[in-house]
Amino acid sequence: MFHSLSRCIVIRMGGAWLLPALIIAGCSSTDCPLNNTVYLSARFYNSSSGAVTNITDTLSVIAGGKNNTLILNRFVNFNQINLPMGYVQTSDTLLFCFKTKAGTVVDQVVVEHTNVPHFVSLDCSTAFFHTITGVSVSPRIPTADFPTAIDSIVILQPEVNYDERENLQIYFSTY
Amino acid sequence: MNERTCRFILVLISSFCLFARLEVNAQNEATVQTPQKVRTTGVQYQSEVDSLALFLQQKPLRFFEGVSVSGDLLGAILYQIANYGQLEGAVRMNIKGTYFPVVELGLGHSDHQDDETDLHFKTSSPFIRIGCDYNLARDKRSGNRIFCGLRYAYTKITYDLTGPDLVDPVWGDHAPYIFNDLKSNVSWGELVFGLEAKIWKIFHVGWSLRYRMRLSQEIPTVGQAWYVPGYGKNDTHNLGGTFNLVFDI
Repeated sequence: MFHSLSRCIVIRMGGAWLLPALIIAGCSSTDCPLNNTVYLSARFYNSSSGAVTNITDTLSVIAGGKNNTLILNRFVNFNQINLPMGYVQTSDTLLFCFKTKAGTVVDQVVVEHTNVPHFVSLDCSTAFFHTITGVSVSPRIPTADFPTAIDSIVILQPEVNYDERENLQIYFSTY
Repeated sequence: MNERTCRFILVLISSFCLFARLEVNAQNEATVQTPQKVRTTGVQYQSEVDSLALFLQQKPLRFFEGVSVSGDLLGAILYQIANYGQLEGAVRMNIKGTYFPVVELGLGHSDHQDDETDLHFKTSSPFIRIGCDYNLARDKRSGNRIFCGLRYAYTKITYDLTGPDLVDPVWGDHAPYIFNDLKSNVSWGELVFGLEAKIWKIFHVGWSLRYRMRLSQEIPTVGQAWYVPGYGKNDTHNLGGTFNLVFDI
């Protein structure tokens, strides 16, 4: 009698809790990142003063390659830029096209990087993260016709991911 | 003089006193008074003699009361029907009906493709949990138990992660998304609460709720495993449960 009574009590308690227990079995949640775009972020600086500077010439940026995709079209008076990075190749060629009344001049920037696939969860979109391993720029001296030229580039933060931190400092020299 | 003897004497004396008082009261009072009902917790017997008889039948709990084996029915069902699940068994010792050191072994399995992203995750890896339950029930002999306990768990996982090619929107390249034999290891702790009822002789059923906290994990460059065997969906913490069939051996 004692056993059956205790059993009854325990089973009743068990029954009351069993359903929620079954419902929450394996319950967990994974949040996908709100910002799921990976861009290289660069800011413009004056090579003489070292201060942040605005580009006053009309600037377009083209991703060099088989498609020559236009990334930025005729931007003026700005000091920050987000650039995509290749998923497969480890060297991206970016063409900075400065347009003035005299015509157009191109500075070529090459960004060397690694590509690491990034997975969060099955229900989140995938992406590639990158590590910048090197940057080079074609040398050009500013002139009266083309008064703005890229002087040098400094890698500030080599890791390119969702964080949107400033990765490159692009220094411009002016005529 | 051992404890049983002391208790026996005490029960005898109290029974004698009770009967003697009732006898005196009955003689002194002209009318018989209805005895006042006393609310008692636990199981009541019709007479003290029944209670005493049962008490005498009970043997003291030994230090080592036995071993039981169990299987998790819920994990096995999820293994068959859900995105992930585990086949899990446990061996448990019974120390004085109070402490239950336990080792749980299992094989976690997942083979799931997300409908929206078309990403596919596949693994089949073992896990182990070691811990101890404490029986909160006052009656340690009944076979019905209320548990709380702790676990430390570990798994070494190998998994495959595949998906559609990633198309570079700027340069137009296709990056294959196929990663096989990714390796990781995860350890976690569990807080356990559960109930168990004796159904028939050596057979018990019970369930447990488990709050799991990830303690450490090794993450491959691609990313962490979506599902961790024995843990569930990979997160810093999660909630799970088991429904156990337990056999005393």
